[in-house]
Amino acid sequence: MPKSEVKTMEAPDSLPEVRSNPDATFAQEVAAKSHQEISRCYQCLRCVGGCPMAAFTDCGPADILRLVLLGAKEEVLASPAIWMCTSCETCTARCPMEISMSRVNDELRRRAVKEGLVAPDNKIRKFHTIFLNITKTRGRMNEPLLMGHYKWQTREFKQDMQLGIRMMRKRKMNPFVRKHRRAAEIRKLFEEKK
Amino acid sequence: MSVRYSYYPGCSLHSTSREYDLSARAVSAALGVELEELRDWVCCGATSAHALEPEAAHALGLHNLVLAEAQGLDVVTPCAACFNRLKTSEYEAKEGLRPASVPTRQAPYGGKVTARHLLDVIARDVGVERIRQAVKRPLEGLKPVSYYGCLMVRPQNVMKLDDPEDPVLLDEMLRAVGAAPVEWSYKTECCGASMSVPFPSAVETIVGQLAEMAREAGADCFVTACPLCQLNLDTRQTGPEPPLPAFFFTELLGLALALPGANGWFAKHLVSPAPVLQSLLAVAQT
Repeated sequence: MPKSEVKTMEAPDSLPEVRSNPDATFAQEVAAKSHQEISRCYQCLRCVGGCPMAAFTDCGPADILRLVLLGAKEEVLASPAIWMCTSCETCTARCPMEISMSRVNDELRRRAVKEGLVAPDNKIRKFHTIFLNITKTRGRMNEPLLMGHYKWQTREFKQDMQLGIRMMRKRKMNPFVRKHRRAAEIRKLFEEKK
Repeated sequence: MSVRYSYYPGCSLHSTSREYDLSARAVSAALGVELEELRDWVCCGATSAHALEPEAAHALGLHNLVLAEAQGLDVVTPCAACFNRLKTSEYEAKEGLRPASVPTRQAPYGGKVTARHLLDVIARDVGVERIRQAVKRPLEGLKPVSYYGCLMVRPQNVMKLDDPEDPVLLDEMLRAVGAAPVEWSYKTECCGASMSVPFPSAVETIVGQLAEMAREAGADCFVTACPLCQLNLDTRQTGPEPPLPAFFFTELLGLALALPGANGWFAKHLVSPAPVLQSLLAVAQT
C-alpha cells in the first residue's frame, strides 16, 4: 500500500490524500483503546476552532478523526498532525459529543510507533522518545541530559544556544539530578501488559 | 490550623523552576500547610509518557498514588502537568478504566488518598479570608492577568478544580493579597507546553498572542501555576514590545506575606520582574 509522503516538521502540513483501501476495523480499534466514542462525531469543528495548534497545520483534530472514521489508517498514522497535539483538552471541553481528541491522538501515536509509520525526521516524536527513555532509565527527569540527547539526535546545536547559556548562568538547569534510587524497579512500570 | 500533605514537587521544580519549589514551600509553611515530601516519588511522565505509552503513563501516576496512600496523606503538587497526570490516574483507576494496581507495589490503590494542586489547597483549604488576614505587604498597584493554563482545569470531570474555560480561583487569591487582576479571555489557552523544544516557532506565536492580549487587557505581568507555562512565558516572548514578567502565584503570595528570600526567587527569572515590583513597592512607600 502506498505510504503518505514524508513531511518535515517546519512545512505546513496538508490534509493527506487518501489512497489506500479503507481499513474496516481501524476506527473500532482506536475507539476501544482510547475509550472514546468517536463515531458520535458530526464534524461541527468546535475542536478545530479551539485547538492551539490548528494554526500550524491543515489537518486539525476533526480532520484526523474523519480520516480515522473513514478507515484511512496508513494516511492518518503517517501524518505529522497527530504529533502536534499538546493535550490541552480544549477539544474535550468543547465537543458536544464529549470526545477527547487528546486521548485519540495518544492512541494514534502509540499505534504509529508500533507500526513504524512515523516520519524519521519527526522532531516531536524524537523529543518525547528521549524524555520517556530518561524517565524509564532514571526515574526522574534530567534536563541537560534531555537537551543534550535531543540536540545530538536532531543535529540542531545552534538552536536556542543563547537561551541555554542564559539558563545555565542562572543555574536553571540542574545537571546533578541523580538517578532514582529505585530506578531498576521503576522500569517494571513500562513492561507491556499481555 | 495545620493540614498535612505529601508533597510532590515534580521534576521541573528541582531544575528549571527551582524558585517555584522554594516559594511554594515557604508559603505553605507560613500558612500552616505542612508538606512532607512524598518518599521515593517518580517522574509523572508529563506529556511524553502518555503521548507514546498511555498504559505506562497511567502506571507512573498510579505508582505515586500508592506511595501517597502508604504515607497516609493526600498528595499535593504545585505543577499543573503533574497534577493532571496524578489526577488522571486517580480517575481512571476509580472508574475502572485502567488497572488500580502496579507491578512495583504490593498493595493496589484503594482510593483513600486524592491528588490536589497547591493553588486549590491554598485558596480553598487555607481560604482567601485567612490569606487576606496574613498579608503584611498588599500588592497594591499590581495588575496581573491570571494565566491558569490548560492542564489544571481540563478535562473538568477529571480535574474538578474550577471552571474549564473561565476559572476564578487564582483571581480571588490575587485580590486577597491586594492585587488587581484584570479580566481577559485567554485564562486557559495552552501555552504550547513541550512544543517549546521541537517546535519553538509555534510557542513563540502562541506566547506572542498571550502577551498581546494581556497588554490589551491592561496587565503588567502574568501569574501562573505551572512550571512549563511560566518557562514558556519567560523565554519565548520574542516580539518587539518589552516582555511581561511571569510570576508563580507562590512568589507573589510570599511577597505579600513579606517572607524572606523573595529576591532570590526573582533572580532566577529570565525576564526580570524588577520594573513591575519597583513601582509596586514605590506605591507601598507613599
